[in-house]
Amino acid sequence: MALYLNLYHEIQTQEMQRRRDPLKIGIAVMSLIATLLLCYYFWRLQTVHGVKGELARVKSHWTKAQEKQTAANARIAELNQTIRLAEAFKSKIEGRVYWAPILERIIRSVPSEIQITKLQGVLSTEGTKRVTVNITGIATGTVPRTVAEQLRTSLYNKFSADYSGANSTFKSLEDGAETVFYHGANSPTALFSIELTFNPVMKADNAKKTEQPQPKKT
Amino acid sequence: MKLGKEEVQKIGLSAVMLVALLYCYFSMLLGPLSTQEAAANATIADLKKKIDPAEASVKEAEALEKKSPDAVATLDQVRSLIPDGAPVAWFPERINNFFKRQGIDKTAAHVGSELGDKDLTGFKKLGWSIDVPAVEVVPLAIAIAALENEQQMIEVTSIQIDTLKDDVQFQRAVIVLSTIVKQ
Repeated sequence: MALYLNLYHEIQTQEMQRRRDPLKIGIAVMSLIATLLLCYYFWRLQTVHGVKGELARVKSHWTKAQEKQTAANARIAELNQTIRLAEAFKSKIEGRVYWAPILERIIRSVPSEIQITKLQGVLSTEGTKRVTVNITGIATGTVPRTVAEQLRTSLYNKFSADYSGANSTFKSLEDGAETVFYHGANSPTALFSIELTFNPVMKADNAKKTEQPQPKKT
Repeated sequence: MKLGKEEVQKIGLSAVMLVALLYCYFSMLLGPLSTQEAAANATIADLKKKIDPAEASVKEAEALEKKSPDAVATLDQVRSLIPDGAPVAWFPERINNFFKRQGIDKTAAHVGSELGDKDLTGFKKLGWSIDVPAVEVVPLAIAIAALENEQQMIEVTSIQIDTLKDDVQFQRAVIVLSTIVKQ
C-alpha cells in the first residue's frame, strides 16, 4: 500500500470552514426570508391599493349622494309643506258649515201662525264645530203656546234627522199682551224664544265615512 | 461538530440582524400598510352608512314628487281664487257685485279682525261683516246658498236676521264670515 500524504489538509480545512461560515449562511437565509416578506408586502400593498381605490370610489359616490341628499331634503320639505297646505285647504273647504240648508229647514218648519222677529245663528269653531240658532218670534192661533211648541218640536225633528247632537229648547215662552187679527178673528199671541243647537256634520256624511265594505257571503 | 467562538459570534450577529430585519419590516412596512387599510375600511363602512339614508332620501323625494301634482294643482287653484293686493280693496267690491247679481242691491262689507290659522302657511283668515239693510228671507237664503257654492274661500260663521219694524216684508241681515286671503 502506497503512503499518501495530504499536504493540502490545512487549505482544505480553511475551505470547509469558509463553506460553513454561519454569517454567510445567515445572510443567505435572511435574504430568502427578506424576499418572501417583500413578496408578501407587495401582495398586501396591492390589496391595500384596491381598498384605497374602493375608498376613492365610495368617497366620490358619497359626494354625489350628499349633494343629492341635500337637494332631496330641501325638496321633501317643500313638497311636504305643499301637500300639508293642500290637505289643510281641502279639509277647510270640505269641512265648511253650509248655512243655506240650515235656513231652508228653519223656513220650512215655520207654520203660518208664527212670525219670526229675530233669528241669530252662530257657528262655534272652538274645539268641535257646533251651531247655535236663537229664534225669537210671535205665535198666534187658538192656542199660541201649542203652536210655539209645534215649531220647537218640528225644528228638533228636522234637525235631529240630519244632524247629530240636535237639541231644541225654549229660552222663554210668555203670553203676549196684544192680540192679532188672524183668519178673520182676533187671536191671542205668545212670545217665544227657542234655542236650537246641533253638530253641523251631516249624519249622511258620517255614515259614508264609517261605511265599511261587507264581506261576501260564500 | 463543535462551534468555535467566532462562529457563535457570527450566529449571534445573524440572529440580531434577523430580528432587526423583522422589526423594520413589521414596523415600517407592514404595520403602516395595515393601519392604512383598517382606516380605509372604517371610512368606507362609515360612508356606506351615510350613503344608504342619502339614497333613501332621494327615493322619498321621488315618491313625493309622484304624489305632489294633485297638491300643487289644488294650491294653484286656490291661489287663482284669491286676488292679489289688499283684501280690503277687492273683497267688498266682489261681495257687493255678488249680491247685486243675486238681486240684492244694498250691501255693505266691513272688514273685521284677522284670524290666525297655523295650518295655512302663507295665507291668513280675515273676518268680514256683511250688512244687508233690507232683504226678504227667501232671496237672502238663496243668495247665501250661491255664496257658499261659488266662493269656496268663504265660511259663514254667523247670521243675524231682524224684522224691520216699519216694513214687515223686509228684514235686516248681518252675515259674519271669514275668508282666506294671501299674506
